[in-house]
Amino acid sequence: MKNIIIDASFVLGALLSSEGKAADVFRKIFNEQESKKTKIYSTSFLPLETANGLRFSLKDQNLTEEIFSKFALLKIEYFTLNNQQVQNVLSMSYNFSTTVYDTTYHFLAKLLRGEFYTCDGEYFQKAEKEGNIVLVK
Amino acid sequence: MKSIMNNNMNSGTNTQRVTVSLPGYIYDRLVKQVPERQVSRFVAGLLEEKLLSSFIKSADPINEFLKLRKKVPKFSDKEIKEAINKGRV
Repeated sequence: MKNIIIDASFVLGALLSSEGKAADVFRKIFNEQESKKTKIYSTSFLPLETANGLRFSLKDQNLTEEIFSKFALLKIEYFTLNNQQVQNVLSMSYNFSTTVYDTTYHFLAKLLRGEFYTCDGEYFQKAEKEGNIVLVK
Repeated sequence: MKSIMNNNMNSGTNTQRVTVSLPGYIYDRLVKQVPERQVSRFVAGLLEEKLLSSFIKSADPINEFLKLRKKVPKFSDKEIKEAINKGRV
């Protein structure tokens, strides 16, 4: 089974992006999870980042709350890192000049020997050489 | 934890009595808000709503989520990333 780690740029990209690529990949990996080909993980702060992204993208509060309620039903296994793991994330984030938040997803992908799916081109450029990352574009 | 038992189910003959344990703060709010002899009806109503709602919503969560694409304005990946990070220094 393939482990896939997703971030908020991928979740919101599937919904809000003017291009449909992220939505296609999103549908594919979640459907594959139904047939046990993949397992989808994320960090425990994915819901917060997703909610913040919705909060500052959409003016319609009812629509935002509807979207979040649907998001909450998706099968995603959430991870909370311990302090030692956060220490490792810190080190990675200095190496790549990236934020701790973004790097945490990537660290999780390495920890789970999976692939980090993101629509964040800037992070991808900085951290691509580390491997375990796919830019969904 | 507080236990609640209530015999006052007037909704017909097909009922089951259960004992549930609640965190104290929820129990305190419950007894403040709901009249003493209406607790079972209140809890049954909430459970019914929650169980039916999750049954309907979980039919196809992937499609339900992606269907919302039709209802939302579209943004560039850069704009989406900025919205996610907004408020962080």
